[in-house]
Parts: sequence; structure tokens; C-alpha cells
Amino acid sequence: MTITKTREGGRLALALEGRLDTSTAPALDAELKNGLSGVTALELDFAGLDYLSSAGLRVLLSAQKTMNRQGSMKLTHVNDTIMEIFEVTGFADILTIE
Amino acid sequence: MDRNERNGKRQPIRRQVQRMVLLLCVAALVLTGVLWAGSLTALRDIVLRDSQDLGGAAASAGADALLDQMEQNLYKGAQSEAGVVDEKLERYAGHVRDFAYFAHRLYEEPEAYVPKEVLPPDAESQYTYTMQLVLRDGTVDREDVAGEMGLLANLVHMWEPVMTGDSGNIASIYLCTESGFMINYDERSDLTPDQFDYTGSSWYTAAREAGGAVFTVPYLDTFGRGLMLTCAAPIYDGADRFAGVVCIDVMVEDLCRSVLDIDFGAGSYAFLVDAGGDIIVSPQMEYTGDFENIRDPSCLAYEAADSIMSGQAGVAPTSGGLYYAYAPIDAASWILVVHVPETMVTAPAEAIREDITARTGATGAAMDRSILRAGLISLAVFAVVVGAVVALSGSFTKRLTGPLLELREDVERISTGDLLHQAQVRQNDEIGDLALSFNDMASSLDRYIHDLTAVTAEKERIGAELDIARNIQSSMLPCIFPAFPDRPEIDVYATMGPAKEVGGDFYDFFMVDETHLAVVVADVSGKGVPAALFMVIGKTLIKDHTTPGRDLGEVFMEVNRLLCEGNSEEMFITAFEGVLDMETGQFNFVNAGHEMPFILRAGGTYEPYKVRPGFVLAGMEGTRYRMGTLTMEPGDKLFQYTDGVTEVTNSQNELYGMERLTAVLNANAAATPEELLPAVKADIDAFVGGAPQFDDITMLCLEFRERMGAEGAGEITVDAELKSIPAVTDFVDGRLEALNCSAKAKAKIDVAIDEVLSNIAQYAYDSGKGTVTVRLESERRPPAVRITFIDHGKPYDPLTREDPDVALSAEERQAGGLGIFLVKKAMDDVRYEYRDGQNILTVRKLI
Repeated sequence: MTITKTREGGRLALALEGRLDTSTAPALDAELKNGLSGVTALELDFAGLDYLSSAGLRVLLSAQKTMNRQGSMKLTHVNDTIMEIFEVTGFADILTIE
Repeated sequence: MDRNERNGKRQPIRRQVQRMVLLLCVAALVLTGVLWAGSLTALRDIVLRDSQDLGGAAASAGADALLDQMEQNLYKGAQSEAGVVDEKLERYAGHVRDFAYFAHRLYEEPEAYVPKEVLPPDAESQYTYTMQLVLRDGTVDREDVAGEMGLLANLVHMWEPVMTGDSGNIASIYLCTESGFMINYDERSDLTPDQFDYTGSSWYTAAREAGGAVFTVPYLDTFGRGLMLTCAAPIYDGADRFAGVVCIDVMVEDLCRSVLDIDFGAGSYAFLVDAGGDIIVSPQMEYTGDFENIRDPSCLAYEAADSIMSGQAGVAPTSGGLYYAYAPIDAASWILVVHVPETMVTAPAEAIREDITARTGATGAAMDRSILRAGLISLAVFAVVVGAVVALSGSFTKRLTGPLLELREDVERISTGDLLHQAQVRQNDEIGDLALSFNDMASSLDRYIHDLTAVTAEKERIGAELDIARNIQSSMLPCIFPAFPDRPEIDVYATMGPAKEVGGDFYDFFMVDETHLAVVVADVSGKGVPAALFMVIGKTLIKDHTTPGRDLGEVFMEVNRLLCEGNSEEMFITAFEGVLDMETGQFNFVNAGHEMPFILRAGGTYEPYKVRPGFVLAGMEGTRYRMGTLTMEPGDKLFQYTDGVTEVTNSQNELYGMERLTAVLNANAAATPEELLPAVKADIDAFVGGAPQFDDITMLCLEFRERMGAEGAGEITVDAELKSIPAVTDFVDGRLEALNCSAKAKAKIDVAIDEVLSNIAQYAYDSGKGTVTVRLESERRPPAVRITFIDHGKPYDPLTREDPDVALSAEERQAGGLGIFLVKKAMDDVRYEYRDGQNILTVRKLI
């Protein structure tokens, strides 16, 4: 998985490409843990993401909890497969998906 | 035999005996009757013939005498009749001769007589006898002849008494003179003419020429007074010169009648012939003035004419069977002839003859009547005898056949099933013997049927139970085809039959594990229930002991050991078992005394595969079996059977044999197992024809179609670490792409792999060291994949874990527990089992 990061003041945009699974989730987790300070608007672009597993979900849940405290977080360009996962796991209600 | 098949019309014995007796009796009677009738008839013929001869002779003699007598009678009769006529005629001739003589006297002495006046005819004086003067013609002067006339008129004194004395037959008396007058004396003055020239008359000339009395032939009177005859005599004057003629006209109707009435019998008549031969009076003639002459050859009397005209009396026969009796009449020179047919003359003789014949005939008839009467009496006796014979023979044969009929009714009753019925005929003869035999037979039949019924019922009961046993046995064999519809790698088909009775053949096939298919074909020695029971044991033991990975030699050794334990009947089983590894095509097999299988290599032909068989199962304790191995390639087929196939025989007692089997297998080399076995069966049936078949026919065919996982199938074993996940994902993804898996399904499968493997990597091995095997299998219909994860870690069933609450808020949610939940949601089927120290998790996903 590759992560393309764009920082503009309090706004952080991450474009994900590939798979977000057990082996790649720790990389995203590390990026978010280190880079969310001062961020008020987190934007995750899923256009290049094939799928994600429960490890990915765990990272997203953690990020959502952090952003609930300091700003907002939204996901864009979610494909059908991933949307289905969000729905069956209840994440569709937790996350802001555009 | 059916009643209708018997020959001819039904003929009861009674009728036949009666008919025979009757025939003999009638034949005897008829023969006697014929002989007797023949004798009687011959006797009758002799009597009649003699009688007829006698009568004939008598009649002939009598007839000759009679003929003579008759001729005499005729002769005399004719003379007598002629005499009568002669006498009558002679009287008239006498009268005219007297008149002529007196006239001559008048001429001689005229002065002695007073002249008498004669007046011309006067109509006033009719019906009074008067003299009338008739002149010859106008040349005669009355005055000139007055003297002569007055003189001759004195004749009236003679005429008057003659006229009145006669019985009215004289019509008129008259005289005619040469001098030219005529004095007519009669009572018909009205008919008398004044003048009449008599000189040319026949009687006038005849009398003048004869010089004596003459008779004319009878003629019809000119004045219609009937048949007339003139008797004339010449008058001579004093000088004896011819002076005239005196005549009497006699009506001869009576005279002729007296001649014509002469009757000498049937067919006879009389006639008068004059001196010239003319027939002047005859019953046949008509007075036309023409006469038939007897000298005319056409005359019947022609032959006798000379005799008749001889002037003698006599009798003359003719060749025409006629007799003529004749006698002269002197007064008139006539001849009286009597015509008599010979039959009349001979009639009395014939009458005698007929009389005798009649009497003979009467005798014959009397005899015939007697014969007839005797015949009728004989017939009556005959009828009585025949009737008696019929009645007697009837009653006799009835007495004879009555018991037979009674016996027949008894037998019919027995034949309808009433075997307890006993014939009641008690006669001490052959029929009685027959009745006793029938009674014995009925009793024997009854006993036999009772026994048979019991045996049959027992047999039926056993048969029904064997039917049930056979059905149970059949139902123990797998019989649903296709047997493994979700296994594209193999196709197996098997048949057993026709199971006529419970037998010991069986086949079996089953999955040993996911990748191994076992097939079994076996034959238990013997038949019936023991064989069937042994077969059940054998089948069960083989299936139970065929476990994954176990050496088939060991399996059979174990089965053999177990079978030998309880084999009190010393039965045995020939068996072939093979196990196919569907992934590799490796086919392990073991053979316990069974037939060699046929192997068809893809595109080739079926050939027996030489297998060294071990000893039969249950044959000997401790027998060792060695497993064989061959490799089947996709398209290869295996055909196995029992000896029932090769050992069927046809009606010529020929074995079906290996050659025929090989031929029919190869003729159907391209057929699927399900097509092949019926084809073989059809060939066997055609060979067998109608011959009964005793052994079971059991066949099994296995086709190896493709290796399991040949397209994207396979497995990978990696260390149970998180870093191994990409390798597994790559392995699976590569296979999925080959299977044209959709991207979405692939994503979900990848998620499942990630979740399951991360679980195993993190929790399975306490030591953190271990392996996990991931096996991927594909399915064709419907397209799906099956992925199995196998680890040897601690037993753990992830499916028992509770699903997370997906309705909580982000703050409330726990990060764990989502993995397996996701797997369950993303896959179509998830199963877990712990077996042989392995955690086996299998997921299935339609692609």
C-alpha cells in the first residue's frame, strides 16, 4: 500500500492505494499517530484502495476517535466492496463517507 | 383333452351295441325274407306259366272248332236270309207273271170281256185306287187305242185284290203298250202325268228282252215314295207278238231293311250284289245311281268276288281277315253276301282264350295276394321282432352302461375338485373295478394336493422372505447416479443383476476423504441367505477399514482376520479394492482372488491389467496382501466385474468368456460408464438368448476425468506468521485469476485469507512457531472455490466466538473480533473441524 500525504495548515489529506490489511495497516496507523497533531480536518481518499480488512478497520476506528476530539474526518471515493464492509460492520454509521 | 377335439360325432356305447344287434337281426331277417320271397315268386311263376300254357292250348283247340262251326252257321245263315228275300221277290214275280198271262188271254179272247173305260188322271180322285190313262206322246190318238185300252182295263180285276192284299208295299201297278198308252193303277192320280214316254225305260227293255219277269235294281222313286223296285214282265198279244209290259212298283224299303238288318255279330253286315257284280244294296251305299262293283280291286270283297259270283252258296275268307258268306237269290239273279270280320268269327274262341287267360290271371293275382299277405304278415312279424330286439338290447345295454354313466358323473364331480367324493358303483365286474380305481385315485390326489399345498405355502413364504432379503441387499449398494455430482474429476457407475435370488455379489464406492475415492467389487462364494449375510459383513468391514492414507494391503489383512474369526460356514470372498487419489491419479489397489480389472488408457483400448492376486478373503487366517499401484491419467477408465459376466452360458452351453467381453468393451471404448455397462449387459443378453441365467452379473466402471486442482487448484504451506500472508494471497489470487474470478469476489476472498491467517499467526501456536497449509479447490457447477486452512496449533473453533455489536458508536466500539465476523459475512460457507490434531477451517465462495 502507498500513502500520499498532503498537508495544508490544519487540513491533512491522505490518498491510499492498494490493500489495507494486516500487513499494511500498521503503516497507516503509524502515519496517523504521528501526523494528526494540529490537524482539524482529516480527509482519506480511498480511490486507489482495493479492500481493507479488520486491521484496517481498527486503524480507521482509532483515527475517528482521535478526530472526534480535535476536528473532523471524512472518507472519499469508497468503492462498493469496501462500502459493503463498512455496512456489515456498522462502520458506515460511525464514519463520515462522502 | 377337450371334448371338442374328439373324433366324430358322439356315439354312446348303448347306442352302438343296440345298433350292432339291430343290424345283425335285420340282416338275418332280410336275408331270410329275400330267400323266401324268391322261392315263392319262382313257384308262382311256374304255376302261372303252366296254367297259361294249358289255357292257351285249350283256347286254340276251341277256336278251331268254333271257326268251323261259325263257317257252317254263316253258310246256313246266308242261305236262309237269301231264301227269305227270294221268297218275297218270287211273290212279286208271280204277280206280274199272272198279270201278263191274263193280258195274253185278253188279247186272245177280246170278245169275252166287256171293255172298261179308262180316264186320264184326275186330281180329284187321289187317295182312291183308280186307273189313269197316260199317253206315250202327242202322236198317239186316244181314239185309236180306245178298244185295246178298254180291253186291257179288265186287268184291274186282278190288280185290285193284289193291291189290297199286299201289306201296302206295292206303290203302283201299271202296264205300257207298244201301241202308245199306259194304264196306271194307284191312289196318287195327282202325281200321274198325262204323257210319259216309257219306251226307253230299263225295266221296259229288260222285260221285253228277258221274255219273263225281271227286277230292276232298287232306285229312289221319282215321286219321293222312297226306295223302289220295279218287277216287270212282257205281254204278248193273240199272235204272241210283244205288245207291252206289265209292272209292279214295290217299295222295297222293308225288303232292303230286312237285308240290311242282318246281323251275325259285331262288325258284320249284309249286302246284295246283282248279276253284274254291282253292290246294289249295302248299308254303306247312297242311291246316286253309281254302284261299287265287287270285282273292283278296291272293294273289300275283291278277293272273294269269284266265289261270290259262282252262283253257289258258300263262305270265302280273305287275306284281310274278313269272311264273306254268300247265297244266290234266284228270283232276281242277285246274291246275298254277308261280310263278317274274322275277329267276330274267332271271337268265341278268343273269348275262351281270354276266359282261360283271365282265370289264369285270377289265379296269379290270388297267388300274388297270398304272397303279399304272407309278406305283410312277415313284415309285421319282422317289425315286432325288431321292436323286441331294440327294446331288449336297449334294456340290456342300459343295464351295462348305466353304471358307466353313474361312474362318469362321479368322475366329473371328482374332476371339478371334490376329491372326497367316492363313486358308489358297487358292481362286481370291470366297471366296479374301475370305480374302485377312481376312488383310490381321488384319495391319492387329495393327499397329494394337501401335501403340495403345504409345501407350496412354505415355499412361497420363504420366497417372499428372500425377496425382502434381496431388496435389503440391493438397497445396501449405492444406487443413486451420478454418485458424485460435485466431483468433476471422476465418474463412476455400477450395476448388479439380474439378482434372481439373494446372492453374494456386491460392489461399493465411497469417498475415503476429500481427494480419495475407493471402489470395491467382490463375490461371496455360494448363494442364498448365508452368502448375503457374509456379503454384508464383508462390505461393511472393507468400508470401515478403508481409512485415509491406510495401506490397502493392511486393510485386507485386517478384514481377512476379522472374517476368519466368525467363518463357521467356511465361506470366502473374492474382492478387488482400489483407491484413486484424484489429485495425482495414483490408483492403489489390492486383489483377493478376484478377476483382473480392465484398464483403458485415454484414447486406447480396454486391456486386462495383470494383477497378481492374493488369496481369497476369509480363506485362511494370516493371509498377507500386497498393495499394487498404477497411475491413471485423465481420460483413463477402469472396468471391474465378477465372474458372473464371463461365465454366463447360452443354450449351446458356450461361455461368454473374456474375448467377447473385451470385444464389447472396445466397441464401446468412447462410452461413459453409464453408457458402457448397459451396452455390455445388452450384449450378454443377446448372447444368452433364452437360456436361464444363474449367476449375478456385477460390473463397475470408473473414469478418471481430470486431476483435482488441475486448473488453479493446489495448496501452499507457509510459516504461521503475519509476513506469510502476502505469499498466500498471491498464491490464491493467481489461481483465482485463472478461474476468471470476479474482482469483488477476489477482494472478499483476500479479506478472508487476511483475517484467518492473521488469527492463526497470532494465536495458534503458543510457541509462535508452526506452519499453516492453505489448500484451494475449485468447483465447476456452480463456479466456486473452497479454501481450507489447516494448522496443527491448539484446538480453536473461531466460529464459536460471539459476533460484535455493530450498532455501537465509535467511542464504544472495540477494535477486536471483527475479523472472523467479516469472514462469515464475506464467504458463502464457513466450516470448522478439528481432526487428527489439526484445526481445519474451510471457507467456500461462489466466484
